Amino acid sequence: MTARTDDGGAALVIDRTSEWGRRWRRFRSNRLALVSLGFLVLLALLALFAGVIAPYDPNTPDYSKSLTDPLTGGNLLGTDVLGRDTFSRLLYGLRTALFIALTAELLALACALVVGVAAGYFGGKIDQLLMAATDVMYAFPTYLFAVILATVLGRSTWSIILAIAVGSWLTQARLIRAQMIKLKTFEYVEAGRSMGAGSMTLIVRYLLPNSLGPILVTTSFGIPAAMLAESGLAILGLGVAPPNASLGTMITDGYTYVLVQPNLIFWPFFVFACAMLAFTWVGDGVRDAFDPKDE
Amino acid sequence: MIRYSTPGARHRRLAVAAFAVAVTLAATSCSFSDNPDKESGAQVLKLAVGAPIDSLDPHFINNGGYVVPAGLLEGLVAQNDAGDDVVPAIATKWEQSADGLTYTFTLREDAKFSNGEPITAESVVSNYRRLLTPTGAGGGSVTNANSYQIGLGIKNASAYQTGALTDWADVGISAPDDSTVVISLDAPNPDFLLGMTNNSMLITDTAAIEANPKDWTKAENWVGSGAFTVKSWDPSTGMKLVPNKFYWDRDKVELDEVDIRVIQDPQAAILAYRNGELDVSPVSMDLISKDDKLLGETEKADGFAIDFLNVQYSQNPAAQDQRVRQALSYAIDRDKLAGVQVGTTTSNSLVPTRVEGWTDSMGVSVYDPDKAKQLLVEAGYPGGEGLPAVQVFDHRPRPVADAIVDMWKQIGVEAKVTIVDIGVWADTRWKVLDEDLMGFYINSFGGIPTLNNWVYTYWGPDSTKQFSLAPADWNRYQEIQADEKLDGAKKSQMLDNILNTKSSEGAQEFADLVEQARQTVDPAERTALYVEAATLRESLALQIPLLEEPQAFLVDPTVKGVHVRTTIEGFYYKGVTVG
Amino acid sequence: MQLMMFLLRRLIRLVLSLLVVSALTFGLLSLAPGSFAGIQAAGAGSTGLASGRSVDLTSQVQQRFGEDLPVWQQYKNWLGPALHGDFGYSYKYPESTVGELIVAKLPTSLALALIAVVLALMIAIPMGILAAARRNSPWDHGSMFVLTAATAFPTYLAGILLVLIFSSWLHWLPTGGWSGPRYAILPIIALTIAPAGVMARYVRSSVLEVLREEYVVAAFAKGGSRRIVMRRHVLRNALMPLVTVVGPLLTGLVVGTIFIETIFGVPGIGGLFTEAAQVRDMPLLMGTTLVFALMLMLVNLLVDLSYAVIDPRTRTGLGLSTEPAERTSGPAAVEAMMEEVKP
Repeated sequence: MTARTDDGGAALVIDRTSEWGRRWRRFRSNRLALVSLGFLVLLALLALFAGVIAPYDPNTPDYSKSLTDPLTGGNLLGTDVLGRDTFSRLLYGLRTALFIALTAELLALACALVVGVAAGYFGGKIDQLLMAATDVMYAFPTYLFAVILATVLGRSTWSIILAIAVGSWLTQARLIRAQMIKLKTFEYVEAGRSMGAGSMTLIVRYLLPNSLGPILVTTSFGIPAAMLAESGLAILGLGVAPPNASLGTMITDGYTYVLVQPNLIFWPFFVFACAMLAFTWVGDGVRDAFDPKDE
Repeated sequence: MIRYSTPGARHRRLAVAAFAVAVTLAATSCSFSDNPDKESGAQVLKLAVGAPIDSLDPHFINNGGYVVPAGLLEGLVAQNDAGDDVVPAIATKWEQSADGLTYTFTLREDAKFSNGEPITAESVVSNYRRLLTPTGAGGGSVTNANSYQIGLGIKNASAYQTGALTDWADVGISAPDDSTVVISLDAPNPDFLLGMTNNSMLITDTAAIEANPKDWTKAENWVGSGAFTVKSWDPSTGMKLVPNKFYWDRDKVELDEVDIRVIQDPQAAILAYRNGELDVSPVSMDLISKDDKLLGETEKADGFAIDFLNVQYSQNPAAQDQRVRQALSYAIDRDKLAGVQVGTTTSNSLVPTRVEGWTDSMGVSVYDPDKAKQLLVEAGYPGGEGLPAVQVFDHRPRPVADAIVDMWKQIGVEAKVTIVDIGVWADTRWKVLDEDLMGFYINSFGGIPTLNNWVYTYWGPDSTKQFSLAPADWNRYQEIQADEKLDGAKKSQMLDNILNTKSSEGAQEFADLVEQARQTVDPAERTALYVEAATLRESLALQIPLLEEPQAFLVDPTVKGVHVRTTIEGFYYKGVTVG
Repeated sequence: MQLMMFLLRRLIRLVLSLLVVSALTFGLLSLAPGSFAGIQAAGAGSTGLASGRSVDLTSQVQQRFGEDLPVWQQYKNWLGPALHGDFGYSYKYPESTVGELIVAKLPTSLALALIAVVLALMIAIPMGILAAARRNSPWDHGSMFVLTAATAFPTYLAGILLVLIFSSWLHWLPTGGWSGPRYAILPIIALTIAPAGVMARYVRSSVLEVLREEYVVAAFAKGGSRRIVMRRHVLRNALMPLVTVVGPLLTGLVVGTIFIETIFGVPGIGGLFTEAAQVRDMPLLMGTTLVFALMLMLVNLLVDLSYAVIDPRTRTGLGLSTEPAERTSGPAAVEAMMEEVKP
């Protein structure tokens, strides 16, 4: 198996496995990215094993303790107004938030790939339509759209995922389009075309693999953006259905009691901010790993 | 493609940025409202309202209700400090006929609008005519829902408003001479005088409205009847009021200005109060539950509102089984709910405990999980077996709903909270649910503390009959309501027919009791009948009472004369003094 | 000539886009359950406003609003006057036309957004460049940590924190209100925080990317000093794409200020925008949405034009495609921001 890398147009034939190994080495050399990745893996594990780690059921009220401080009454981070354990809810909330963000981003990316490649590579009508759609989409009242989705699909995790994906695929499609426009003028693509390679072949064998870096970077930024969007929906009252927690709804719920028990908003916000930061740094690392010019 | 940046270019850019900031600052400053007056010795009451003051038209439901009755408009009568009786306002005296059906008001001679024009009996009548005109004689081209309170029971008012009657002469409002207004009722109404203090019944100057049909609420055109008049008004930031110099009781108005600030964020309002920027601010006590100083400065009127669950129609027969609904009510531990929402108290009845005539016998909605389980067994759903999922239908997250669902789960019922956007909620709460779901929507009603209000106006005979209808009959009812081809009178008759023949026995019995009570003039007898009716209604469990909410304000200790009442506006600005 | 053609084409597209936006929004509104009349009759959730109101009044109100007509007919009824600039009276604010409301509130929002964007740029550009120039230094990591945390801040939380610090604790500034420039300081700071964070990250990524370009590498290889190469080659090219970001950011800030408005009592347009959707105030929603769309499209047009002026490479592209090929978001940090500033 061979692949061509984008190093300024000169085609290099190299072994793919060692290429991945090299990328990994480059990524590893960025210590911050590595630590961030470790942190994200830790978060993912915490979320995945929330059921094992959480000391309490996240949704069962305990009316004897309401809005308690951290480290009191056996609650690591205190309790919310219903006496539910904040730490346990944080774990489950993290799980919900990560699931929603990842799924929404994947959905948006899939959509963006199809449209972006079509617009960038083939140009013409699709391209013009995509560009015109951008202005229209940005001006669209997101609130109403989310309400309709929630009405049609019911207030489920999926309607939230869809609302976020619909809101974010377009910018990503534009990004991929730009990448396609840039790559298709490169010599080796021209060469491939002159040698009679079909469009599909060119896209699948040359353009997409060479866009992998930017696409991964987009994704690593898209996930925290989706997390933000989820908390935005929560503010509008269109977030995850109670009693289930997500980071977004925990932050909005915590705001109600911000003057009574600030811990309630601090911890979910802290985890949320750290996760966003980690995604950003991992994205940095990924870009370096895919872009050998830095060496 | 490589550009050079010279030092000169850099300075130019900085200059551009600085210019942009300067221009925008200038642009912004144009939109600032005028600076607060700092006259020495002037008494300025600074207070907050929690919603944009979207309109000042009292004839439609809007947020004007938070400020208009407090000082901008006055009615024939006004409330006393406790809010349980009335005192003279535009009318100096009134007489009630022996049958309790006719009230004759005598207007004061020196009653004037804020432009100096006298308030005559004709002003009063034309004002009520505008209120009851079915198409809405409102300011703009489109207007809000009409604000007339049906519970007031003015003769033929509802019929005129729905279009069933078209001759204004049939409505029981008339002005035999310049200083007399006569209002007759369908049935005796002990709350009538208190009801006349509602925002909808206050007196606007219809001549001023006709002069400026679209802009009459703007500050420069405003003509009111209250102790204050509008100095400036911006819906989203607030308004400033100054005393109405033509007001008949000008001497009692101590304040030189009322400065109302719209603060929609409740936390921000608390912080502004704490910072000394506000003298008075509405407050939800659970937001300050650990701040003893602020709690100490809270003035409240208890029993302002009742939070309740209202049954939703469902194809599943369980929703129509009284025992199931009772079981769900018995399963709710209201003490714990009150703990969750600090500041509220438990409510075992749909009638607030402060209402005169309230007796323990009405408090049938109590916590009794054993009885709840037993009722489920009797209804054929032992341990919740066979019941559809039960939902609490809401339009915003609220911890109390989560707690209720948890309590229902304790008796084996599968339960959940369903939250939808407010528009969806308003649109679908009366829709018939599918077989696999039953539920209750959560809501609050608030108002004056009288039996008539809480037994007849709220969840009264018609509403109780409606909610006891089987799904098919309810759908038929709605079809008739939506049928544009039917004229008003015919429609009313068909709707009444459904209510009287298809509603449950209990609902009809309740309706008869309420009707009896309304026709009774003797206060003690009437109270007894209302209590009996209320007790019966609670046992139907079409509505499940949850909590009583107070009307609460943070009031700076230097401010005197804030008498918090159980009305939307909370208190009158008239007798208030600062410092 | 080419430019004129380009402009003409863009203007036609702009008008068509506005029509599409209006039709889609109208369609959405009619699809969404709930009506203004219903919400009003239900008391809009405010305790006390509701009474045992029967449904027949609601249906009457609906008739009055024409809400019982077919959707396309309603749209037609709306479109006719709207083409003449008449958006009608707001439902929610029945004494004001939509035009009046927008005219009264847009300048404030626009001014706040402009100041916030300028401030954000003034913070973001130096910090982003420094972080990129001292890549992987403690300064880089530290500043990025702070700035990323800033982007994660929901505006309402930032707002209340600012009030707690500057009003409750230091007593320097009022908690809210709108009676003078002093009252605008905290809202502006609250509005600046998130965009500053996003843009600093963007600048950093952009600078890092340009540092890798051949001509920069070559300039270094020729023995150019770090300062000179940075200033002459890197900054110019790294900061140019910022133009594409500032436009949408600005329009987003104009209408995306609802929380700032509710916390500080700023009379801006953001509250109207959200409120209109929530209470199904059709005329107001249509008006605010279209004003927002128009601003966005005009700004994007300006961006494209300025880009063509700044960067000759895209000029050739102008005549050929309707869009300069280069006008695409650079590093994906923009994505995050686009989502953040979208109302």
